[in-house]
Amino acid sequence: MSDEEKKVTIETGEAGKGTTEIPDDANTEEVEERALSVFSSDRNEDITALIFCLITTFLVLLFTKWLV
Amino acid sequence: MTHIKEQTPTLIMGAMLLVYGLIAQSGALLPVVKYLHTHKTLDLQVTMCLIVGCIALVGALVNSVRKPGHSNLDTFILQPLGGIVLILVMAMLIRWYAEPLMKIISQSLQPVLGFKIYKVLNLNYVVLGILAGVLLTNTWGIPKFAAPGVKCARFVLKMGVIMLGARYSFAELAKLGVYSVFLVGFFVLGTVFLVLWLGNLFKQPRSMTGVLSAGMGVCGVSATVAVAPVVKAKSAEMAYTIGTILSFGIVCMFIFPTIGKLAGMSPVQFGAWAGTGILNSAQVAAAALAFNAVDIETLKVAEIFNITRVLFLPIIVLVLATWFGKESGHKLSFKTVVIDKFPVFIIGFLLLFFMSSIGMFSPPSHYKGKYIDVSYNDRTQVTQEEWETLNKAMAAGEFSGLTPKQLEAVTDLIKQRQIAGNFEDRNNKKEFDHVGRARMAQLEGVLAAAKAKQIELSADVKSAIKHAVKQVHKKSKTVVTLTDFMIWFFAFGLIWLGMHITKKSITQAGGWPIVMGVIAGITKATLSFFVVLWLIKDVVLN
Amino acid sequence: MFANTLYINMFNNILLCTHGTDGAKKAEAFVFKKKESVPDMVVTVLTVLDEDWRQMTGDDWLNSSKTHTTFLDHVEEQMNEEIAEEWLRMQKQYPLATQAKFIQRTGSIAETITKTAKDLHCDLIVIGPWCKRKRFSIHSTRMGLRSTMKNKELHPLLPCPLLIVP
Repeated sequence: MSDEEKKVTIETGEAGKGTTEIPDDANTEEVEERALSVFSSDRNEDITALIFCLITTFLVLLFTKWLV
Repeated sequence: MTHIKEQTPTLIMGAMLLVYGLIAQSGALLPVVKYLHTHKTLDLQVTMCLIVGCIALVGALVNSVRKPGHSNLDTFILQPLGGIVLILVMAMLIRWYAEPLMKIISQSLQPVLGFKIYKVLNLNYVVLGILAGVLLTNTWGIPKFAAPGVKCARFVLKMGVIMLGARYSFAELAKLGVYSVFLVGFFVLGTVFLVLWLGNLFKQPRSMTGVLSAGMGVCGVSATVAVAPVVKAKSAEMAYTIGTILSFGIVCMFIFPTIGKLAGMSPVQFGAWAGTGILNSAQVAAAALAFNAVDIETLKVAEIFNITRVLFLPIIVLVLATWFGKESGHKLSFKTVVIDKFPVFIIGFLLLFFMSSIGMFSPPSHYKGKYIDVSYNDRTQVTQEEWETLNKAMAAGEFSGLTPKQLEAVTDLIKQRQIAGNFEDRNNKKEFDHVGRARMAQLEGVLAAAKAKQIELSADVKSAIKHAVKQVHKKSKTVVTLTDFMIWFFAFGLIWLGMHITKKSITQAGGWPIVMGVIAGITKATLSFFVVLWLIKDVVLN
Repeated sequence: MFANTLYINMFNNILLCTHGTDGAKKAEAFVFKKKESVPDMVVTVLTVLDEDWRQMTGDDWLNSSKTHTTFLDHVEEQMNEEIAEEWLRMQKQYPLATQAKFIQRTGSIAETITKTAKDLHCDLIVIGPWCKRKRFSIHSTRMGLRSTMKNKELHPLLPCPLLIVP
């Protein structure tokens, strides 16, 4: 019994898989914890940041240049 | 009201902000803010506190009634709210209270200590913000209610970088870009090879020298994180390397600005040095703002170097993958490394830069955010007292040491009470402007000569001339406001950066990586110091 | 010696917590020596993967989330490999260890140890002593993070007696 378990562990550790997989036993909570940001992808984060900046810039221009 | 308990901190913060905003609006705080010299920000304090306070209160109430879901509203606004408000409150406290207090305390301690604490330790809002973040994580930890919000900070930091794009001119970016590519290219590759060579010398495993060389060479922990899977680093090697890089970076963050000031580096030189020598990219921004927090010149330079390094990172990953050879666990192609990892926010930076260069934020000739207006204008006149001071000084012959041209400029300043062209040329705009600008240049020459002790002027006279020169420099309001936004974004992001420096990760430093890392890091910092001093002599930015 | 024997005989489901340090090795030696005299004793070897690896990415903000995940996956993979090696070493060193059950958990050390002990209905937890740190020793061959656990954190959580092998 114990032997079997041991073998399983060693095999998962073998190198050269090349892909990243989320381990079966990892719960989704853990994956969420890992994430650096609230966005689903970096592209989304970057694009949202850009859009926010453009909105800010537009508002600043509106109140400091175009409406003055 | 099922979730009211988790929302209590946000509710309290919101209520406090509202109360503070109302008190500030009533004018009751005027003596306090005058004492702290923050009275110019009073309007901003009121507006920010009222807006943020209202949002916090409403959000917290909605959160406490509503069941948390997975909608966009939940993920992006309601859940992160607590953390966002917490960081904002910290940023406000630091900018409006901690920093001014620090200045006042160190000023009053100066007779006892013989130096100003805040000048030596660079305790401005940037450093204080990072310290506050570090203190919070290492004492109480990031509070649970704030955890989702803290994750928004990276997004805000990216916004800061994008907004910074609005501050460059074409010429600046071109010149800085060339400098940064050469300096960063040389030092990145140099350090990578130095560490690889040291690893060979000390007979260390390739996986360890691989991660360490990337970390020391390109951008600290970011590079380590990117390279570790590629070179199949062992767990202890990663822990040692990251610990070493984090502690080295923190030491740099405090030491670099002090050395830069002692060596009398110009903002441009310091920005270039920090951008080359400091490892972690966020710490580069922190050191640059610590060196010069009012003006963002240093930050502008440092950030260009930073971006160059970020663009170098994929190249180094490829180089190390090749060097590590077949053992590498992950197959890497040019596409997966360079194209997939290209940070999109840099395109945003370029977009704002483009908008700025076509003159969207100010007329084309004013792109630097400042422009000179020597036309007749009540606003550009010197005050009555200043005019009297100048008049008396002229009568007393205080201006005897000036060149004839300088004397002519001063005489005209007294005559016209402002820097301007000749009255009779007022219809010939070009000539009028030309003469006015020449006079301003002469007056600046007078100030420079007084500073260099070539001529002797009383403090009152100097301040009067300085004021006159300052009056004709007008800042574009758009650029000023955009910069303010950017500074707040950076302050927000840097507090978050502090929150991620844990004692545990720092204390992992040790083993061979600390030996090799310190050798490589100090070599890089010292060499780049001299190269920057030697190479960047002219002032790139106006 | 008598007291020792008496003491250990009272327990037959032992949780041995180890992560390959010198202190933990003392605990291993102690437990497997006892198992020689008490063959019925059930030994579970627990190795905790410190959740603080998440903090090790420090103030990095340039990397994409994918790079981060790749890094953390690599850490996990690497740690699994190293832990497996550690277990192999133990089995080579103590033939009796082959009868033991080996498990690995992720989490904060104190909480994970106590939770595992509860789940497995262990009646004794064995850990090594706190060792003087060899921070600047360049020959130290440790694995994973340098994690120390504060007894203050562990004690209130304990579901069963704790034995610290000197």
